[in-house]
Amino acid sequence: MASAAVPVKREVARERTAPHLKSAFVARGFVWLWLVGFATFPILYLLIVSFTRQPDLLAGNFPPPTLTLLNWPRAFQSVPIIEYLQNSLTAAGVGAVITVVIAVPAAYAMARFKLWGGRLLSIVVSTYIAPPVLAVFPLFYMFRAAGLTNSEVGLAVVYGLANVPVAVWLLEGFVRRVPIEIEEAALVDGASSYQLLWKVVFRLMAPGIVAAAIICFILSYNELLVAQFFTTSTASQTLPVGISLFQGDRQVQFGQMAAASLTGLIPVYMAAVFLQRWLVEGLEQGALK
Amino acid sequence: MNHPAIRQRSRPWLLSAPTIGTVIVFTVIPLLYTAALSVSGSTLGQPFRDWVGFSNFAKALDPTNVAIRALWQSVAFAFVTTLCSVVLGLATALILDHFVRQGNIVRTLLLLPLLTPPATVGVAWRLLLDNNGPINQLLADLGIITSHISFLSESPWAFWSVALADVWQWTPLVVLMLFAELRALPREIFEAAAADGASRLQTIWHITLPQITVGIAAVTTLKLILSFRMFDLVYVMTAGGPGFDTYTASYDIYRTALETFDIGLAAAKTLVFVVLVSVVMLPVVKLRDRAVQRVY
Amino acid sequence: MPKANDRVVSQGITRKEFLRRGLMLAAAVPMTQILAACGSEGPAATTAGATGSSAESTKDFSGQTLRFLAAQPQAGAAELLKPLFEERTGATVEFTVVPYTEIQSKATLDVQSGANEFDVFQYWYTSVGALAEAGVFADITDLIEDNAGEIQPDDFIPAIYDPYTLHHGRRYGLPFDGDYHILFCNMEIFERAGVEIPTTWDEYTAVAEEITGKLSGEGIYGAALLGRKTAFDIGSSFFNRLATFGGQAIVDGRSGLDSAAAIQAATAMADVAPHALPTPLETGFDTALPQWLAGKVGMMEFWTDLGTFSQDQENSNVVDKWEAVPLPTGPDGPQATALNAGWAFAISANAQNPELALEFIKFATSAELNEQLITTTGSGIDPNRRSTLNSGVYKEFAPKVQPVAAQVVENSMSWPTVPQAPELITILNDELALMLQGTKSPEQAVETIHTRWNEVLA
Repeated sequence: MASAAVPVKREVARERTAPHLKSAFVARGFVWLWLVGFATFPILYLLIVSFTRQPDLLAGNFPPPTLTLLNWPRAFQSVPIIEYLQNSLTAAGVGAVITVVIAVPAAYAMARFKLWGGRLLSIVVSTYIAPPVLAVFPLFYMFRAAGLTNSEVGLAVVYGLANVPVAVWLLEGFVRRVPIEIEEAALVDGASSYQLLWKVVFRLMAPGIVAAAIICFILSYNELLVAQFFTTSTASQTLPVGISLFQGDRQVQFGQMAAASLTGLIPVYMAAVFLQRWLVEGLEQGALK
Repeated sequence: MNHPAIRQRSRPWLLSAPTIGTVIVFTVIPLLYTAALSVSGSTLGQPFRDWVGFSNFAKALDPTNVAIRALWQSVAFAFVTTLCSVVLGLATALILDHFVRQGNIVRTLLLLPLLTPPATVGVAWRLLLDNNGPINQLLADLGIITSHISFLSESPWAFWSVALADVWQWTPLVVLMLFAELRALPREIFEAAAADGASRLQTIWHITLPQITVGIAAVTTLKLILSFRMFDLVYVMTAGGPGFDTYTASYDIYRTALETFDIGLAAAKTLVFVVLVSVVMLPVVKLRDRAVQRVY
Repeated sequence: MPKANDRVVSQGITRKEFLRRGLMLAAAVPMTQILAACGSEGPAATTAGATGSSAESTKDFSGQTLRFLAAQPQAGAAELLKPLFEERTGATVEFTVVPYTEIQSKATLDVQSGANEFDVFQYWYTSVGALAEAGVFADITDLIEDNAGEIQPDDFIPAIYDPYTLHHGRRYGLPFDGDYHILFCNMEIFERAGVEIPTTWDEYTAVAEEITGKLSGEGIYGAALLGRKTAFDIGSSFFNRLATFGGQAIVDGRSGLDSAAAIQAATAMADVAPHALPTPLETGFDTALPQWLAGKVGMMEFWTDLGTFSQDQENSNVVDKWEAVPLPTGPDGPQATALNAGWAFAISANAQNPELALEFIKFATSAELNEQLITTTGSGIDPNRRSTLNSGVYKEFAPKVQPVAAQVVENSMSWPTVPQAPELITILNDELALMLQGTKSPEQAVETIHTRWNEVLA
């Protein structure tokens, strides 16, 4: 395939044999509308819910006859959203860094050297399948012994280590896309083996590393079960935990819950938009082996 | 190991050591713990109380028990949602590839469902599908129904409602990955086909699809794995109901461990589930490997 | 946590008012201590002991921290407790709120892993057996006896006190919130439909059918049946009926559900389901409550604080339009109720500060606090002591509800509290949900529950 020769994919604007201009325009508009609509309407709906009065929500008056701004400040009063958000960002961010630091060398080694005939990779990846609910208990005991429970740092470590299989899987595909000729060329130029790794390979893998880091970040950021068990105080609890608290109440305040959820979604979405090129490339190349 | 630069055989293993260490701590130890639990009569409060041999496994595999149904429904859910996602995603990717020049805005919008926490997805869809919710209202306004449909507590609907939420969340992943694949295809092939007078559909069928088979296989595998892990949607939308219609294995294990606190049984169910998923995935992985081999 | 805000209600007091009163009360006590302490250096101060408050003398715990685990539905009460206790003892109070489904696992993990993050646990009373057996709760039988003067354990309503705290004859906690159901009727709907308040379950079903038949076009239904599979909903509906049909849940350590009463109870649920707020399987207390307040429900079995909610001018359309009566009964069943939900406090077996913990639960479960909480809108707390149930303040606060509560509470049925209770309740919920779904008949459901309960209890 032609793409194998190009380590980093470039976006090429392609020309097409264009059908009649007008129908193309209409059709394009139609496609856009559907795409935009379908992908975003539940979130837009949540946005509307966050501005809807509770009685209207419960009676199912949609679109709501009157809007209210009160859900947002009340949500922040009910649950320390900002603090939870900070904890989430820290735990997920530091976790992503940990994951990448551990996974990158291993991905390189597995891709280039087919350790155990490739079985090591499969084993590592298959560990991701099992439901994590039981793993929480032994991990909790271990982390408590290390004094890492009830802290964002501890949570970051858990997330960082737990996502290693996913990162290795993604990155291994990336490494394979870096042609070995480039490494050989660098060697010919006199690079030592470590210089080789650092300068050449990592540079070429950079988009993949960023993508893997982002994906691991997202997985940790949205994680609920471990966070609930490992953290007990506001100082270390994360946003998913906070949002879960809205649900058990005697009168579930959906408007506030929507506001809290959207607050959590916004920073991640902004970051992803900003980094979307790498993210998407990571998704594409990581799995396509 | 003929890599020119790295002469010592141990180097690659050294590089992998942190990962291997992580896997041991995070997977092997919990696995051993789970295995030990599964052969003991344990409750959360009093783990490892006594040896019960395989009675937990017997319960986990008991056909009269709901656990078997949970396993089956997990498999059904995974395959159904994957099929829908891949078909829809492929169609969307093809259409987008045809209409869209620069991919950036498309990618940005498609990221939104992917980034939303599954619990939030569940809440949003639960509200949408509520008896008094907007979807029921719309259907009523359009005259399609006369009385509301209880999407989350009536029999065929509940499963499909959860599936819908899942498909909504993950189809963008399929679209993004296949769209990129399509973009990477060289123009020459299409020009040649057009020169030969191939119609659009013929082009797609004979040329485009074979080129992206690898991509399709890869994304299918990924989506399947993700679907087996699905938990939040059921937890938030239906609690396994109505009755047990949306009861999946991951939810069953959660309940067994954290609502009835029979962690010995939960451990047995976990092991059974892992074995089942591995077995089910084998043909899928084989297909994917064959597709890869044919191309590379 | 999401809670009722500071609204003035026609009866009762607002949060702010409550806090003000409480703080004055709490402040009065340390003052006497400080005075007494000043006086202890030299000749005894004449002011020592001359306290006007009825509270017992409290020790000074300043500089110490009490940490407790609270359940989400009780978050409002926890927030009320915190400043009062801090004022009273000088200690700092930290509480962590978790969904009620997590209390048991979190408490167990905390103690067993040695993390010992909490000194006090708030718990749903049905888990007392499991948690006591697992060694998570401290045995406080002797402590209660030693402090009987302050705690006044005989004042607790016995039908509540024992199930909430007893395990194998020893006590492991003190009741905080006594939750039970009575029947609320929307009289405006009753008049419109031309029906009377039912006293038996058959009448109840007939009334529901009548109301729904006539008014469902307006979105008004005869009854709200809590049928959601989560802990307090479908189980409450069943136990309400089991109690009033004269049935028993557990007899001598075995299932008591092979009785006619059990089948009648399940059947009663199935009978009213078609006429209830759609759909019972999705109806939980949080979704039924707003429907009632909107005036869409003719009858509802609910906790006693529904009276307070109903009188809240800001959020209720049914102010002064309702009546409270005991739950309907079977043909010869007793007037009774069931302990649906219900919260208590326990001291962690590994509490780092057991003395402070004891002080806290004494305070939290004291008569004066219970009285204040039950007369505060939005606290979610119901009487658990005879003195508070029959106090003048409460009668004034909830004149319609108080007599009914007083009538039935001594005869309230407890859910299972044995160590296997969580599993028993899950089985019950699952089978009843299948029944409401139409997959099983009431007889089949009850039979399955009975068989599986005995398997678990064996």
